[in-house]
Amino acid sequence: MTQTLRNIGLIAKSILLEAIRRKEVYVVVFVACLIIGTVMTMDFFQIQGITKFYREVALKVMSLSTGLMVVLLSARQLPREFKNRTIYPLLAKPISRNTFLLGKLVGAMAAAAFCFALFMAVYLTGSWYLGGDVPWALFFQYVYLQMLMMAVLSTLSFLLSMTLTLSAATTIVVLLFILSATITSATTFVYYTLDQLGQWVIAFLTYLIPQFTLFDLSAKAVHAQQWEPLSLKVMMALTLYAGIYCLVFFVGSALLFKKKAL
Amino acid sequence: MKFSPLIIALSIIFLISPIFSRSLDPHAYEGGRSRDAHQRDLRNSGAIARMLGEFRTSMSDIMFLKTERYLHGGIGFVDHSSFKNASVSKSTRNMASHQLEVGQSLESDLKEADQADTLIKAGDGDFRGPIGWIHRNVHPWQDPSKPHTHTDGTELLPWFKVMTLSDPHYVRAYALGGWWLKRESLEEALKFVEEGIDKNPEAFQIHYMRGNILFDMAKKEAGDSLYDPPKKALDLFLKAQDSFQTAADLAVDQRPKNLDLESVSAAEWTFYKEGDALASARMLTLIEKYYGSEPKAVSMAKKYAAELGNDPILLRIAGEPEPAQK
Repeated sequence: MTQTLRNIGLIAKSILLEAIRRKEVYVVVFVACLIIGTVMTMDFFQIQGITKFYREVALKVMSLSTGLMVVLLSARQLPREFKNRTIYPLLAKPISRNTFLLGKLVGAMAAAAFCFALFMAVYLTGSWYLGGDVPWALFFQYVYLQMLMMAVLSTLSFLLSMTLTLSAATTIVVLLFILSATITSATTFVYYTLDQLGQWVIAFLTYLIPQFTLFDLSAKAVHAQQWEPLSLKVMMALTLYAGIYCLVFFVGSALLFKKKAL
Repeated sequence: MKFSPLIIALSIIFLISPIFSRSLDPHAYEGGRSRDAHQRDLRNSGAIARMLGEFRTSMSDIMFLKTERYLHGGIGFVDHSSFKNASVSKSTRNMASHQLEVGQSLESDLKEADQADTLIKAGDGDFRGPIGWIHRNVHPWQDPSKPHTHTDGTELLPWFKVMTLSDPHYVRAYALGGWWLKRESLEEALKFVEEGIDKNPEAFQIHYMRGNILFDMAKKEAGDSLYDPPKKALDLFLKAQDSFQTAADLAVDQRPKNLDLESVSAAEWTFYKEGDALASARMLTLIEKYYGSEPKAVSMAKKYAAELGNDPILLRIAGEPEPAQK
């Protein structure tokens, strides 16, 4: 057990170091900071204390940047190991394929956490500079839900990268992620215009496709004065919701990985 | 992955692309829901102008909807995205009545909003079951049957600024942004709407808003001596009157002749402009009545009543019988 955890840790560390050494995280954070910094320095009619606009843009940019980085990082892990044949020496060691895959997932999550930590530093500095209060409870809930979302994104990327080409897998996950709010709004709108069969299909798709917008607490974090933090019941429901998708996607990836001929 | 010069070059181009889009000829394209169809057809030409222009105006439209969300603490209401309040004078009047009790539930809001469904459906109308329940808890949402509250509006201001940066021809953004801004700073509001007039000299709604701001400045300057204002205040009243005059004259020029407000073809003018045209003419004649010459006010009221369709208030100023209610 200890050895398994150590192996997971080693693989995860290699992913994290890879993300850091390749400077992808820094590029993502730099570009995002550029956008956030531009917003922070905009003069809105010389009125002090306007923070919602900053919070909205910063939280969206943080989520979008981290999500894209996680998808790109996760989706290429398995295909690249096969393409470069680096998987052979790895699996020649006493490491099971499940341990290998779990290590990859933990590494992608560690990279996401690292990326988010950098963003949090920027966000909090910006909030302090602009003089607005940080709604701590909602903010930490936002970060927690974002990490849940990253786990779903990462496992979905693993699954699709095992069945599709890298480009196709990346494109599908990125589209599902970016258009999540639109998909959710569209399905709830379209549902009531369809016949029974159409409604059944929409309901099925609603449960089949993870609704990433459910993890987006940014609107409440922006308008924090009007909203209480989420209850424990809601947080547990969201954890369960993310956990189910992660489990299904991870098990699916593991099964495909096992069947993959070396 | 090494960053090739091509990727770096593309990234730089992407980052500076907003600068290029800002320098697009602002008269090359006008679109979005804030324009009337005839003007759009006249001005839109060329595929690139259409695509880039539509992107910019669509962004502004999206940002305009954002202001609705901000006003309601992030809650998306279906009803508030409609055209019904598209007239600047009506929007500001409605908002003003809402703002009387900022942050408190208003019975009038409840009455007005009893048809206002939220974009996220209520539990009994949501087919998604537990997913719908999570959605309603994570995103700002409240039971549509309950009265809603409004924020003080200050946080909306950045959106108006960004809207006009994205689309300098977004007339409503200048007009309504000016209205919200004058609650914070009359001087900044005046600067903002004058920027709008520079970019849209024919948009009478912005002239109307400029008149409103100058009128507020005059009232502030006059203090308790509203009926016998000091010279500085009087000058401001007259400047406001100039703006209302420009607005009313532009409106009369732009208003279709023999307009039938009930007809479908006139719908866009009706929703967008009729209220603002009348408000400009009313303010113009009222200022003339109180701070200028009453006989001139009467003749002005007669003139604009004839031009803008026998408005009861203008007829009252003109001392003529009001038309019977239909």
